Amino acid sequence: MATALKRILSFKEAPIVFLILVVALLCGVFVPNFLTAANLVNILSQSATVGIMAIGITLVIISGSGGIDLSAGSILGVSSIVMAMTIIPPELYRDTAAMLVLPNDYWVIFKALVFCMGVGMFCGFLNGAMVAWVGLPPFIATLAMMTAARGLAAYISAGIPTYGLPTSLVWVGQNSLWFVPVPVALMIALAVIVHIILTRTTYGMSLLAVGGNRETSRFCGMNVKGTLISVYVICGLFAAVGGVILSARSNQAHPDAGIGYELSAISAAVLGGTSMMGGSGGVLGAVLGAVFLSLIQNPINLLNIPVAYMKPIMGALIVIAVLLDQWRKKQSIGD
Amino acid sequence: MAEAIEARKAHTDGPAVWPWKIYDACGIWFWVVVFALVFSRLSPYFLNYRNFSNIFRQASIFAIMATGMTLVVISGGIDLSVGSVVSFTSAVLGVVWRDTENIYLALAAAMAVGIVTGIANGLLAGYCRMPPFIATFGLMSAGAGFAFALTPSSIGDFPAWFEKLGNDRIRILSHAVPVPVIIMFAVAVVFMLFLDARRFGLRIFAVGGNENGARMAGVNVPKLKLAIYTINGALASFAGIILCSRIRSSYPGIGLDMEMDVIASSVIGGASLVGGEGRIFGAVGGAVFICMIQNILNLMGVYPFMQKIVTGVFIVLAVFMNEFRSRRA
Repeated sequence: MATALKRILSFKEAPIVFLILVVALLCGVFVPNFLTAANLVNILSQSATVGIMAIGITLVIISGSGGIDLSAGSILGVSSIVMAMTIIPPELYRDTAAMLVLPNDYWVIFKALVFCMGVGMFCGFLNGAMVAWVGLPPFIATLAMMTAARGLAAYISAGIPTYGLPTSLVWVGQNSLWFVPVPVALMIALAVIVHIILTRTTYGMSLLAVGGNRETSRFCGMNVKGTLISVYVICGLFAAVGGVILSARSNQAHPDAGIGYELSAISAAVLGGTSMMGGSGGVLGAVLGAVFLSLIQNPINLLNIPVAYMKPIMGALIVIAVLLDQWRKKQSIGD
Repeated sequence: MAEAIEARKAHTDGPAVWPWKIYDACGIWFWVVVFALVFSRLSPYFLNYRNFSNIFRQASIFAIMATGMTLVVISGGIDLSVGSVVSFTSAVLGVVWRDTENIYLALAAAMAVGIVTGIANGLLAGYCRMPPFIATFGLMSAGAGFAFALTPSSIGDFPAWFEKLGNDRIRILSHAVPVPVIIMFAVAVVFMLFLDARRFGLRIFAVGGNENGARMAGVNVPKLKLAIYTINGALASFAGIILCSRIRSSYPGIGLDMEMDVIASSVIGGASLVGGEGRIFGAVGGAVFICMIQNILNLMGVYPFMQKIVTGVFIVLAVFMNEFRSRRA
C-alpha cells in the first residue's frame, strides 16, 4: 500500500489529478446539472485558451532564473486584433458593430493566421532578446511587453472590438470533431507534441538542463541564449494560437481580450507541478491545471454564487493545490 | 556587524573613481534629473514647482508601497497581493465608516486588512515554504474578490480632518509641500535607516543573497519572512488609506494592477528580483520616474493607448541603465 502510494506520488501530475477528481466528485453530488455531457464538454472547451497559453508558459518557467511571461495575455490581445483586422476591411469595422457576413476567402484567412502568429512570435522574440541578450530580469522585460502590447492592441484597433469573422474561422472555435470540440482537440494535440519534444528530444533535454543550471549548461557547450529566446518565441506563438481560438469562439477580436489570462496560465502551470525555480515541470500537468481552473469556475456559475466570491475561492484552491504538491515532493524525496 | 556593513558598502559602491561614485550613489535619481531636463524642452508646463509637487504627490502612494516591496524583493521574494490589499483596505475603510460613523474604528479595520494579509503571505512563503509568486497570487485573487463582495460601490463623506491627510499642504521653506509627500519621505527614511544600519536589515540582505547560508549562520528565515511580508502588507494598507483620503472616497477596484507599477518602481530603483540587492530611496526614485513619464505624456497630449507603449519602453530603459551600473561594479 505504502509503495503504491509512493509510486503514485512520484508523478508530478498526481496532486492536480487528485484535486480534479475530488472537485468533480463533490460537484457531481451537490451541484445539479453538473454531470451532463454538455456541461463537461463546455468545461473542457472553456479551458482551451488558457491551456494552450499554459503550455508555452510552462516552457518559459522551466527555462529557469525567474523565467516568467507576463505578456502572454497582451500578446493574445494584439495578435487576435491583427488577425481580425487583416480579414475585415477597416471601413467595415470602424463604423459598425453589426454582424457582418464575410465570404470564406481562404487566402485572406491564411494570410491573417500567418500575420497573427507572426506578431505573437515577434513579441516573444523581443521578450527573449531582452532576457537573453540584454540580460533583463524576465519579470521586468515581459511586464514592459505586457504594457506595450496591450497599448499596441488598443492603438491599432482604436479601442474598438471587431465582430463578425468568416464562418470557416468560427468553426475552429465553435464546432466539434466527432464529439470533441475543436479547441480541445487542438489543446490536446499541442500538449502531446510539446510533451514529446520536452521529454524525448535533445532540444527538450537541453531546455531542462538550462533551467536546472544555466552556468553548467553553458560550460557543457549548450546554446543557452538560443534556447532561452526560442522558449519565449514559442510562448508568444502559443499565446497567438490562444488568441485565434478565443476570437473564433466568441466571433470577435477585442483589444482587451486576454487581460489576466497570463496569471491564470501561470497558476495552471504551477498547479500542474512545474517548479517556479525552473528545471522541472511538464506540459500535461499545465493543461490539467487549466482544466482544473475552469472546472472550479463552473459550479460557481451553476450555483449562482456572486462573481466576487469566485476569485477568493480560486485563490484558496490554488494555494491548497501547491501545498499538496509540496507535500508530494516531501513524500517522494523522503527516502 | 560593522565589518559586514562596510563589506556591503564596498560591494554596492563600485569602483572608487569619483564621477562613477556619485553616479552610483545617485542611482535612478541621476536619470530622473536628466529626463526632467529633457522633458522640460518638450513642454513649457513641465518644469515648475506646481507640476512637480503634483508628480511627487502621485508618486507618494506608489513610493510608500514600493518601500515595503523593496524589502520583500531584497529577501528574494515578490508580493503580487499589494494592489488587492489597497482595494480591500479601501472597501473596508468605506464600509466600516458608513456603518459605524467611527473613523478611528474604520482606520483600525483598514490597517488590519494589510497586516492580516501580510501575515498570511508570510506564513505561506516563510513557514510553508511556498514560492512567493504563487502564495501572494492566491491572496491577490482573494483580496480583489472580497473587496467587491463587501461593496460594489464607491463610498465618500469622510470627516474633514481625514481628507486633509491626502490633500493638505504644509509650508516648508516657503514652499507648500503636500502631506503625502512628507509621509513618503518619512517612511523612506525610517526604512532606509532600518535597512542599512540595523541587524534586521542586514539579515534581509543575507537571506536574499543566500538563503541556506543565512539559515546556517543562525537567521530564523521563516520568522524574518513573516516580518517582511507583514510590514509590506501594513505599508500597502497605509498607502491605500492615504489614497482614499486624497480622492475623498473609497472604491473596491482602486488598486487594480497597482502591484505591477510598484514592483517596477522597486526594480527601476535598483532592486534585483533574484534577491540580495535593493535600495529604498531608489524605489522612491523609481516611483517618481514612472509618474514623471506619465505626466509628460499627458502634458504632450499623447494618445492614451500610445502612452502605454511608451511607458513600457521607458521601464525597460530604466532597468537597463540600472543593469549597466550593477554589472560594472
